Parts: sequence; C-alpha cells; structure tokens
Amino acid sequence: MNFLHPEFLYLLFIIPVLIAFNLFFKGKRTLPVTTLFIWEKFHEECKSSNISFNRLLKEIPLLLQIMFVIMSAIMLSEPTFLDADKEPDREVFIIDSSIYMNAGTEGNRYIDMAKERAIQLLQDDHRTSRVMIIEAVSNAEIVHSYSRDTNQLVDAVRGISSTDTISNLDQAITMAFSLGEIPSRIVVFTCKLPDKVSRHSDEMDIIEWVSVGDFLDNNVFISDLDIRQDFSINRNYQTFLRVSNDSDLNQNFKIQVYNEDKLYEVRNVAMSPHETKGLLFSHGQIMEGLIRIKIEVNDDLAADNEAFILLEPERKLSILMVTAGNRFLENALTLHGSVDIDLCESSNSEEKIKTGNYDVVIYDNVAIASDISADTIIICSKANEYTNTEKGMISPELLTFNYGHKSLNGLDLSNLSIDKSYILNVPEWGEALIESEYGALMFCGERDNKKLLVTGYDLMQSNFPLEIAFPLFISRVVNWFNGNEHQNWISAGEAYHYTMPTTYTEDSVTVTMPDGEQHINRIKNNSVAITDTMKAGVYRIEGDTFQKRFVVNFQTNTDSHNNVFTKNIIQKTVPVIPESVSTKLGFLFAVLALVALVAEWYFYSRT
Amino acid sequence: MSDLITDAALFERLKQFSFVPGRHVSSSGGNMKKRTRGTGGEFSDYRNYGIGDEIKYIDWNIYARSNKLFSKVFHDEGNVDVHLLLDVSKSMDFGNDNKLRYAKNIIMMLAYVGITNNHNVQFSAFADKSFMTMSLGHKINIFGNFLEELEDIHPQGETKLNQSIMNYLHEQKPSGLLFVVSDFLDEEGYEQGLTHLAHSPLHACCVQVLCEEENDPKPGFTDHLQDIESNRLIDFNLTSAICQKYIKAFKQHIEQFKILCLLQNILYLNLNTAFPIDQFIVNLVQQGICKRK
Repeated sequence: MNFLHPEFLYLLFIIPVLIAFNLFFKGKRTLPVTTLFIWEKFHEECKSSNISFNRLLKEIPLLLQIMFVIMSAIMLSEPTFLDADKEPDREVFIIDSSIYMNAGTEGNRYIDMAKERAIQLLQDDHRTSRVMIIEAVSNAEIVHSYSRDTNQLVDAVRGISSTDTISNLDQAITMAFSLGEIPSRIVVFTCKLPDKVSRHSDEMDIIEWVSVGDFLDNNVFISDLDIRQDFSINRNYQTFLRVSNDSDLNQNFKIQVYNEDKLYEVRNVAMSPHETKGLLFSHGQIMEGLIRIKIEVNDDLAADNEAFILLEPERKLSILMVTAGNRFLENALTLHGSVDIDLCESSNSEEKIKTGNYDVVIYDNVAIASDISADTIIICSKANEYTNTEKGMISPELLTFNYGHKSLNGLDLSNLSIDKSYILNVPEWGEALIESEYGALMFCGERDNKKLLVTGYDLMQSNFPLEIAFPLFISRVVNWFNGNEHQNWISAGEAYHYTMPTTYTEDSVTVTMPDGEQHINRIKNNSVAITDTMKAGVYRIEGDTFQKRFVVNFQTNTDSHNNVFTKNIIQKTVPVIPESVSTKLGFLFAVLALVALVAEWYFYSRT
Repeated sequence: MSDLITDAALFERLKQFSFVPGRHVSSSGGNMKKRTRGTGGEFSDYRNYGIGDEIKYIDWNIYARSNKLFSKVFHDEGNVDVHLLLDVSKSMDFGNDNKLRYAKNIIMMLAYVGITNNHNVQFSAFADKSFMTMSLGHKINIFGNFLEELEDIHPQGETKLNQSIMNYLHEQKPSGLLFVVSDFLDEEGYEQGLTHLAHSPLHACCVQVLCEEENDPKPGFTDHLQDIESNRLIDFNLTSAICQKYIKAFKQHIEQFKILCLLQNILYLNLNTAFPIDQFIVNLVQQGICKRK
C-alpha cells in the first residue's frame, strides 16, 4: 500500500494522546440512582461473572475513537494499492515549450494541446506512478519533481507557457535519465522530433513520443541573421538574412523592414520548396535604432518570421599588433572596420604599450610584455603562464569546438587543421574554444576586467587564415573585445549581461519585457544579468538616469524544421497506464469513519 | 416553573369527592368506624355536659333518672382528621417526570379534598427527620398559604421512613386518615414504621411514587452508579442483562412492600410519574378511600 499524502499519517500520533487522556484525564461516567441497595443485590454476581466483558464494553468509546483516528489518517493520506511485487513506476513527462509549440491558432496552440494531453494522462484514475515534469526549452528545466499528487502535477503543467527559444529535447531527455533511478517511461509531448537523442537504443524503448498539433509542413522562417558595416566610406550597416522555405510549396511573400516601427523597405521574395535563400539588406543612412525584419507569409509558425536588430554607433577599437608580420590577421582585423591598428616589433613593444593607450594588444608569435595592462591576444607565445611548453609542440587531432561561445557560434570549422601547437593550461576563469586529444589549443576568458584570448598554435601553422570562418572569427573576437558581442542582441533563452556605466549609482534597474511586463533586477558587481529572455522582441533596461535596449531573437541554428513526426512515428500512441491495481479507498474509509462516529454517539454519547 | 398544578377544572372536579372513613380496614379485619366524635347522625356515647354544648344534645331521660346533665355524642362523618406525610428526601428529586413534583401534587389534591369536606388536614414533610408540620384545619382560606409552603419545599437529606413515621406518631398522636407519600426506597427498611402505623388508631394509606427511570432503566455505558442521597458509588456498567436483573429485583421489592402493607392492613397505592396525575383520585375511589358526594 502506498499513500498519496503520507504526511497525514502523522495524525496517528493522536492515538497515544487519546489513550493517555482516557487513562488520566477523562472523567468517569456516573449514573445517579435513587438507591443502591437493589443494585447491590446482584452486584457481586455480575462483577464476578462479567468482569472482562464489562471492561471491554467500557473501553468501546476509546476503541471507536482510535478507529476513527486511524480511518481519518488513512482517508486523508489517500492509500493506493499496487501489485505486491511491483514498485511504483517513475515517469517523466517532457513538455516541449519551444517556439515551434507556438504554432496553431490562438487558444489552441500546440503547447495548449500538449498540456491538455499531459493533464489527461496525469488525471488517469489508474495512474499509480510518480511523475516528474520537465519543460524542454533551450535549457531544460524541472517544473515539478517526482510526485504522485495529481493536483500539484496538473498545476505544474498548467504553469508552463510557450517561449521563443529552440527546443532542446535531447538535453531534457538526458536530464530525465540522469535524475535518480532510470524512469520506467518518458513521455515527450512535442510537435517535432529532435535531431538526435544521445541515448542507447535500449534506453530509447522507454521514450514515447506524443505528437501534438498538425505537422509543421508549411513554414517559412528566418534561419540566420547577421549585421555588419560595409566597406563604403560611410561604413553603412547591412543585414544578411537567410530565409528557409520548409515546405513542399512554392512560396511568394514580402519581407518588410522597419526602423523604429517606420516601414522603409519591402522586398518580394519567391522561394521554391525547401529552398534556403540569402538576402542582403542595406540600411543606408540609418546608423542607429531598432531594425525589425518581418516575413509576411501565412505559414504554420508565425513566431520565427520576425527578427530584430539594434544599431548603435560603434566605438573604434585601438589595437597594437606586436608581430614580425601577419598579413592574414592584419587583413581580417581591417575588414572589421571598427579598429585602428598599429604594428610594431617586439623590441619596442613595451614602450609603445605604455605610451599608446591601446585597447587590445596582440602578441603574435613573440614574447609577451611582463605586465599586461590591456585586453590581450596571445598567439603561440611560449613565454607565458598559459602555454605548456613541457611537451613541446605537438601535432594535435582536433576534437571539439566550442560553438556555444559567441566567437565560434555558427562558424564551420570542420575543415580546420593545425600542424603544430602548444597545449594550453586553461585557467579557472578561462573557457576552452578548441580542444585536442591532449588539451586545449585555444581559450578565452576575462580576469580583473581584462579580456584574454590565447592560441597555442601559430596561425601560419594551420589552415585557419584560409578558411572563410577566419575573418568572421576575428570579427567576433573584436566585437567581444569591444564589448559589443552581447551588447544588444541575444538569442531567446540566453542570459543577457550588461556592465552598468560607472555613473549609474542605483542598485537596481527595471527590465521591461516585450509584452510590457516589468521586473526589477539587482545590480551585482556593477553588472546586471537578465535571464528571463524566453520571448523574442525588444527588452528595455531602465533606471533613473539610464536607459538601454537589447533585442532577443529566436535562435536559428542547425535545428532543422524537417524533423517533424512522420505519419508512421506518431501512430505510436501512449498506452493507457498501468495494469496494476490502483484504487483510492478514501471514500470508503470516510464512510467507515462516519459509521464509527455514529456508533459511538449511539452507544455512548447519547446516554 | 411552578411544581403544582393550577388547573381550575381539576379543583372543581376534586370538590365532587370526599373521604370515606368507614370503609377502611381495621386491624381486626372488619370495618371500623371513625373513633373520633362529632355531631353526626349515629349515636356513639355520652359525656358530661360542658359549657358550650348544645342543649338539644342533652339526654333529658338520664337527667331525670340521675339528675345529672349528659350530652349525647354521635359519630361525626364530616370532621375527620386527615394527616398527610410527604417524603422530601433527595431520592424523591429524581426522574424526568420528577417524583417530588408529582408527590407534591398528590398532597395538594388530598389536602383540597380534605378541606372542602370540612376535615382537619394536617401536613408534614419529612426526610431523615420531620422538618415541617402545618395544620390547615378545615379552613379553605389558608389553602393558598399551604400551597406556597408546599411549593417552597426542596429535597434534602436521606430517607428514614421508620424513624420519621414513628416520630410523627409519637409527637402528633394522630387519629383519622393518614397518607404517606414516598418512594419507600429506604435501605434501612420500612417494616418497623408500617407496624407502628398498623397499631395506631389511624387508617393509613401508603402512596408509593416511582418514576420511569426506576421502573425501567435503559442500558448505557457507565463506570459507576451513584446514590443521589448518600453519594455512595458502586462500579456498574449498565448492560442490557444487568438492567433486566435490576427490573426483576425492583419488582420483587415492590411486591414485598405491597404484601407487607396488606398484612398490616395498610392501603397501598403505586403511582408512576409517567401517568396523568388526575387519575390518582380515580384510584382512591376504586380503593374505597374516596367517594363521589
């Protein structure tokens, strides 16, 4: 027997109190009579013949009270009976609340269907299992831990709302497997299958996919977005937009571009089925403000048809390259356009650094200065604390690239090869970007407000400068040094960090969400972190003397929209749960407790 | 709430009845006439003439023979002494239909019948000792005062039947009719008192007043039974079987008392407080104590 509310079993502690009360405090029941001598005629006879029976009869009220307490405790704790040899099942319900679940009509979105279906399963009278609820967003979250309390679980499901993040079902499934014992079943409520599930095939057997809504077979979406300045004298901004047609239909639609809600460009686009098309939008004289790009198409999912860009006047970055000569790097830096580059030999670098007031110093294959006073890039320098020179230079086999980092996000480094490299000692505050079988070959990090990027290999000892990704990488690194990398654009679900101006003295700011909802965020270490960025749109950070905007976009990535359920897969319906005997006996115990009380009243209290 | 009935119709009805002194059973077994003297129609005796005696009752024949004045004395049917004894011990204060209230009404009815028939009515309340005596005579005008006194009587003390009856007989030396209204549940017994009654010049009637709780107790969970007079306790759980045993013993006790009364030529009436009180006078008529005028 198991109990849905075992805490009510503490009521049983009333029993010793009842017994003590009955023994020590309860008054004796005395019946007045006019005379005793008639009773005494047979008193001795009764006393000797019925003493034990009389004692039992006298204790009946106490027995009834104890029975009432036991029944009440059992009733409130809601017992359920399982097969004797069967432990209660553990189940995990994973509800996809990613942007794809926004599809559908208002009030009948996929997320609503998923929640409704999950609630139906939770409210199944035959369910005896303990259920955990996980919300699958960009970072999976446990909404409710294992519980058998249907009401709490249903409330938890009802509290889930759709977001504008990508789904990360793989992470959610991994979480389901890793928390405690392996569950007996994992039910995933989603409208699309993930690219991959990092589990063994035997573990996959316990995963049941519940399809909700129709298939996303008619969707046009913005799959990539980038903004940069062109090479004109005015260095105008231009936006690169990648649009995908994830349907079997030819699509003709308009793309509208707004600046601060003012429409200034409309472009007609025609796309063939499953075509991906790159589009370039030049913003001309518009050098700052909010740019909103919207695809006017009637498809299954509206949330991914819109993107936001925030243009801000760019600060020039002053860079000193201490190098014997590196044209690839020099050109890549120059391409960015927001940098002023000085070159020098290592011999006079220290004096230059002292007098030049540079933002960034790049040590390219030279020894570094003893005192690092600016943001620094160290390329293949063996005379520093981060380079492990004991093993010398090795020929590494590249294992992983940290695409999650802003500098590598979206880049293709699959063809990168490095001939020789030092292995790096990544400090605690550092984050490895490229790792080999022997250790990190590139890392970056920030300490004491100084940013540092270290590579263990000479760029000339690799094919990186020849890759298309190289100038993009350098551009992003420059943005990172320039403080622009997170300044006004993040993907939904990511945390937004902003370092407050030193002139701002308050200890909190007000953050206004795209839907108008406001939160107060505390400032810690002169920085504010905004983590609730599940919805795409424009966010405002405001204080008494300060205002800042940033935009959140639906994160387009390699997560294809093609992984919707096929007709065959979704036919695998969720079986009706448990064959085990499961009966709530609360009602029965309630009736019995009532009968016990009435009996006590009838036989005892009424006299 | 008043203990006593104030129903005018009842009093009108009571006026129609009078006591029958000649119907009482004497200790010798035959009918006895009242030994008190009066001016009734049947000759009883002579006595010396005294100042105040009416001349018409002087027997002139004897005066002619003896030259002395003798007055004739007749049996008096209209001036009987009526003694009313009420048990006011704590045991009478019992029952949903309270025994003492019932008994007070019986006393009231008897007193009214006595007074309206020109009898001398004497009332006494007793518990462990006689504590109140009131002589009403045959004055209807003090009946109101009597009712107030009766109303004010509260239960007290333990039942001491023998002692109370003997004390009354010794102190009052009564004659005529005597009614003892009590539950007659005295642990020390009542034989001695009844014997003294039987040997007194009285026509006695024992009116036993009992309530339903005594006649037929209901089973219930109890730890003790408590004597309401002495507060003494005995362990008892009132099961159904024990109740049956009690009822049997109680009936036996009542029967023994009834037989003892019969043996002592004392009239016995058993009244249950659950029954209407105006039936009491009917019982008296049936027993020959009262007659319709």
